[in-house]
Order: sequence, then structure tokens, then C-alpha cells
Amino acid sequence: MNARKLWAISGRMVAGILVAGIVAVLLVFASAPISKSKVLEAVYLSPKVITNQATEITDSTVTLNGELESLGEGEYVAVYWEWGASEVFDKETSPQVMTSPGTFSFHLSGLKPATEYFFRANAANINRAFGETLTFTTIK
Amino acid sequence: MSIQKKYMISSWKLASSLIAGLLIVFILLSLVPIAESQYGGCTVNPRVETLDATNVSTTTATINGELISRGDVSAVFVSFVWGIGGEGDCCTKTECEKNSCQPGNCTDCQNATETEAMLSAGTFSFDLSGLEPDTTYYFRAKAKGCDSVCGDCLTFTTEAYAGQTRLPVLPVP
Repeated sequence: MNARKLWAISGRMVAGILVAGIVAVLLVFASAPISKSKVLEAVYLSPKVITNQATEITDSTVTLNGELESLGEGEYVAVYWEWGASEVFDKETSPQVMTSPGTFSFHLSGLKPATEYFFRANAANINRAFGETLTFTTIK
Repeated sequence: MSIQKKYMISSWKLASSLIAGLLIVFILLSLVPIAESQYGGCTVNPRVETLDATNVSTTTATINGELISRGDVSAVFVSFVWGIGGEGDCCTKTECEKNSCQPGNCTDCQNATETEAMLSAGTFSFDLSGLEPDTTYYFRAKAKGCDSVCGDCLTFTTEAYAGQTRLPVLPVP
């Protein structure tokens, strides 16, 4: 192989490395905006919450039950419910403050009879956590 | 150049470029945690303002605040500190934020209301009762996010009972 050919190949190699590097830089910086919440989740403990079965179901009311297993970071946790007629959860209850692990509940009213509702317990302070999505159906 | 040689050079070029690219990716990825630790963690605090008291009567008042922004956290915990004025000045914002103001060393930290949780920006209030008539009270809103932050120290004066007049304060000899 003569020197000219060797230079040509080296030049193409350098160009290839540069392009790969630029693509890598772009990929890393493009992913940066979503990393803030991931950092918070990695650095701070999240609360742990469980959704329990709904009780006292009538044609228009229900009691939602949950359990805060641990507070995560800090001395306060806001517990609240997401609920709705689909898993999109178009409604949210006012948050209640809890300062130690334990059970909590919320009395919902104004529901439609014979309707299936979806709900899940939420717990938030620095990070937010939620329990499993469960359902209940109001009676006729 | 034979076809065999040409293919060999091409694949070698391709492989070396890929290896170089991967090396760069790994180096940059290893730098990301360093970059994140510089700006990362819970750093953006909530912003809170104390608003004027409303519904002030002889023995009751509503104290108001506004959470302007939540900062980095998912839930902000808001409350008020308040107390009777006349015995000294309000604590500084820094003292309030560091929880170093205690009953006795400033007028606005003699009492604290219950803590409420807020998931988004908005106003919040607390009804005070059992107040002294014709008395000046100091209060300020407080919000706990990454750290505690405090709004300005404001005052309100309860109304006097009909016929009640404020007695002049005589200097102590």
C-alpha cells in the first residue's frame, strides 16, 4: 500500500470517528432533560404506598383505602387518590398529610350507580409513588 | 487492489469507527453522573408569598398565602407561623427558613398552624380564632420543598370591641 492510499484511509477513519462522536454527544445531551427526576429518584428515597380494596360501596358512595408503608425522604407525605371511569384517572382528591406509616382512606360521593371506577393510591414528597390500580363497581 | 483486500480494509475501517464511537459514548456516559451531581439533587426550592389577612374581626382572622411554584419536589407542605407583635421584630427570612426562630426570640414564630400538602401552585389559608381584640399580630407563610422557604412577615390588627379604647403604654421608670 502506498503512502497516498494510507492517508486517504486514515482520513476516512478520522471522519468516521468524528461522526460517531458527534452522534454520541447528541444522544447524551438529548437524554439529559429527562434525567432530573431520575436523579431525584436515585438520590432520595421514595414513599411506598399500597392500594387496598374499596369498601362500603353504595350506588353513589365508596370508601377508598390505602396504606402508606414508608415515608421515603422527609417527615411529611402527601397521600391522595387518582380515580375515574377509566384508567386515565380524570379526577384527583385533595391531598392529606401523613407523618408516619399507616392506613388512610377517603370517602367519595356523587358517583353514578352500576358504574365501574378505577382508582389508585398516591404518595408524594420529593418523589411521587403510587400503588396498584384497582376497580370497584357501584351497586344499582 | 483485489476485492478481498478492499473488503478487508472497509470492514476494518467500519469496526474501528464503531469501537471509537462506542468508546466516546462510554466516556460521555461516565461523565453524566458528574454533571448531574453538579446541578442535581433537590435544588430548586418552592416559592411562597404571604398575602394580606382577610375577614379580620375582634377575635378571628384568615391568614393567606400563595404557593407560586413547587420547585423540584412532587408535593409541597405549607403552613403559617404567627404571633403577637409588640414584643420585638419578626425573625429574618433566613432564621425562619432555617427553623431557628422559636417562641420568645421573635414575634412571628410564637405559633405554627397545621401543615397542609399542595401538589400544585395556588393559594392557601388558615382561619385563626381566639385572638385578642385590638391587637397586632405578625404572620408569614412557610413552604417545605427541598428546603423550607418563608414569605414576608405581614401584620393585621384585630378590631376593638365597641367602646374599647387602647390604653397608652407608659414608660417603665
